[in-house]
Amino acid sequence: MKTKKQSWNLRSGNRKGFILSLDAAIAVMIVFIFIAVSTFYIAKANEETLSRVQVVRAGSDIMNVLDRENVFETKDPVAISREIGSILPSMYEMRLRINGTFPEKTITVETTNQTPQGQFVVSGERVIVLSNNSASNYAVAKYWMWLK
Amino acid sequence: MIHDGGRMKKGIVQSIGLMMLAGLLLSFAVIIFHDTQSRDERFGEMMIYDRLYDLDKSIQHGFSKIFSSNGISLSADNSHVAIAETLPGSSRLSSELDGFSSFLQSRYFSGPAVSFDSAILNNVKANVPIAIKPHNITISHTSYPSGNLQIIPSSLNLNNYTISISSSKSTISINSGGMSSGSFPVSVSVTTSYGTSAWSGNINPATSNTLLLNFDVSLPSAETVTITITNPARLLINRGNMTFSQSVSFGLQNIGNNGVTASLPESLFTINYENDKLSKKSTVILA
Repeated sequence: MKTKKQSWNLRSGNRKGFILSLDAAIAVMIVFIFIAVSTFYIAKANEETLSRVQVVRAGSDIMNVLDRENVFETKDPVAISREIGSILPSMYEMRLRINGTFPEKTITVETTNQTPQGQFVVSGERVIVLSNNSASNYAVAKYWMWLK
Repeated sequence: MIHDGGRMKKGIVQSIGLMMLAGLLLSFAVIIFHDTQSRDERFGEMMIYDRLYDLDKSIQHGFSKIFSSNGISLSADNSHVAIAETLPGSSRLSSELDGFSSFLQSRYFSGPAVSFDSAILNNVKANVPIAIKPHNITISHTSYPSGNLQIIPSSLNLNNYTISISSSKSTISINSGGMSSGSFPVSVSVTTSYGTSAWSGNINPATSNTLLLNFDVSLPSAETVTITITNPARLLINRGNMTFSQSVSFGLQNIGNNGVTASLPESLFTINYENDKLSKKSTVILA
């Protein structure tokens, strides 16, 4: 305590210089803290954008695989769901709906969970052709994807 | 007075310092705000491009599936192109192309809007023209599905032809009297219910060449398929009244280009995102 008092016990000119230096140091510190916090948030926001793009691309790739492996031809929600489960990375959830004008009726295939509230969800769609030897049917497969 | 002047100076310096600090903070705030805003805009733009790409590719894949389910199969690499099909062609192809294009136009009538060039679509239905690029060779049909197959190079940039025909007829007799001599290899094999016959030789593709495939000669079921090769290696397989499956493959000259593609004519369909002022004319790459 005595030492502290001694260090503060400066002559008027020195004290002013010390306070000015302290003022400048605090100002510089504030600026650096602000820059650090800003950089952190900007980096975090960029990361979020990238992860969103990643989710969109993953959804698109999965739909492409399902289409090229003719999984939609089954028109069976269980089979489609099982196939999605086998290729969907573990950190994602996916919901799929197929709406098409088939000869018999309009079919809606819904798989997996309901779309969550209050979470970033990407959506996309893909035109699909379901062909067999006698006819082709046309449909749109819409998907929603989000991080677990 | 001097003392007051000194204080004033210090006050001014401090005020300027504070203003600079405030300005710096404000600048950062503005930069962060603009960065966030532009990032959201870029993300939105990327999403539109991704959606456009997905829609375009899925439409192309849909058309490819229609072609393959109607018995037209294509493969292409940097040195060869092959087409396999049945002649006469599938009578379903035309109605399925119409059905798919109508489905797309009714499903995507705004944001995005998908539209078809009806003249090109009618040409696809009538002739199934397939463009081989960059060699500028056209595989086409005369009056599909009932007509014949033709391969039309714009110049002599083919190396050879290999033709395989499979028919349910009993016998085959190959008449090669109309084939010239040269250095362009042609190989033809014909399979009937009794076995396979073949002819191969080197011809001059700049002149007229005719190969006659006579099936079931002297029988009531007699039919003739005529293979004609004219300048510059233009191939026509005239099926007459025969029904058969065929596979035609041709070698490509190396013209220093990679990425050989087989596609339907350019600008078959257009995808238009009117609100985003984004539009893409597209076609179907089959191989």
